[in-house]
Amino acid sequence: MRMFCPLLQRYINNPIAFANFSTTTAFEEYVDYVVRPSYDLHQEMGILNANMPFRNFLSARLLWDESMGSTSARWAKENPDGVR
Amino acid sequence: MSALGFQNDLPSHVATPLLSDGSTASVAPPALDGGSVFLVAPHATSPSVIKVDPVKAVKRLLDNKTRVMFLGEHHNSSPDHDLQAALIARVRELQPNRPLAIGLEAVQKQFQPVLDAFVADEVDLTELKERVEWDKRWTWPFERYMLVLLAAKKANARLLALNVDSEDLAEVDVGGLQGLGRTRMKVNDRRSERSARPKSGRGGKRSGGGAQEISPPPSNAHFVVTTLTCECFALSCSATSTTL
Repeated sequence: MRMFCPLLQRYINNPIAFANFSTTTAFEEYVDYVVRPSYDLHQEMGILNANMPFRNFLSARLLWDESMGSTSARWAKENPDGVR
Repeated sequence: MSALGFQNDLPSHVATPLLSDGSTASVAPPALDGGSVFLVAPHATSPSVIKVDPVKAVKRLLDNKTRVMFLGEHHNSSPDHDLQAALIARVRELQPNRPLAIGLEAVQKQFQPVLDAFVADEVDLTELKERVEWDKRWTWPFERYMLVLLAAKKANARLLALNVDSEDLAEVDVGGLQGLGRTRMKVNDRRSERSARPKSGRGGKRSGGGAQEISPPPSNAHFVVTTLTCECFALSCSATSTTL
């Protein structure tokens, strides 16, 4: 996985943490209980792009969720003077 | 549980003035105590939900120095979005001077300048909807998000465009993350140039795209209120989940 390409950096603040998360139990649960059922549902509804493999569906979901998390975390990092 | 039907849109006499001139004077924030709120206790394998009093829940979270709130939603549920608007108003009421950001899954990162212009009162709801290409890129009814947008603006919050640009997501659908890195450079460069050009009024700071790595936020960082949704959060609709 090319974690340091400029386009991935647009969405992923911390590529190393992003990659390491994939080794955790939480990640396995996320895939099994969230992403896989969602993929199956999309297939049943016939709204997946033709022949999209689960691997690519998972990649897109990971990028989607990471983009939201990274953007939020970036703002929090840039606004560090929280409640005292 | 929130209804999934489409009958709960804002009444036309409210929605129409909002879209035509962006006026907020006649729109009162929804009552916070009108919804059911559940706290989600995170756990790697068995998260649980606890029903709580919505008014007390916000104070409790802030007292606990919560930095981030994830607000689950059914995209097409007006009660869910009304609750989000009420929560934003309540947070601002309790913390009048604290920097606050509202993240929007519905808006893609390339449109951050549009959200900045909306908060700066340089574009109204109608122009916002058009310029973020809402109907093309999100499709869920814009009207149901209007009170959230207005509550954020009234709270002087930063609105954050959270989502991946459709152009990039399409590449990942086809070629995975490797496909994104290999094929999207030229397209992205063109989009960056386009976004950099001023449209109307003040251009916002563009988030993302930088080469620097940013570590997780410090524990005392300001909080972000983030509107999120996914199937896991849909288990507890009209719910707030928290990361403490």
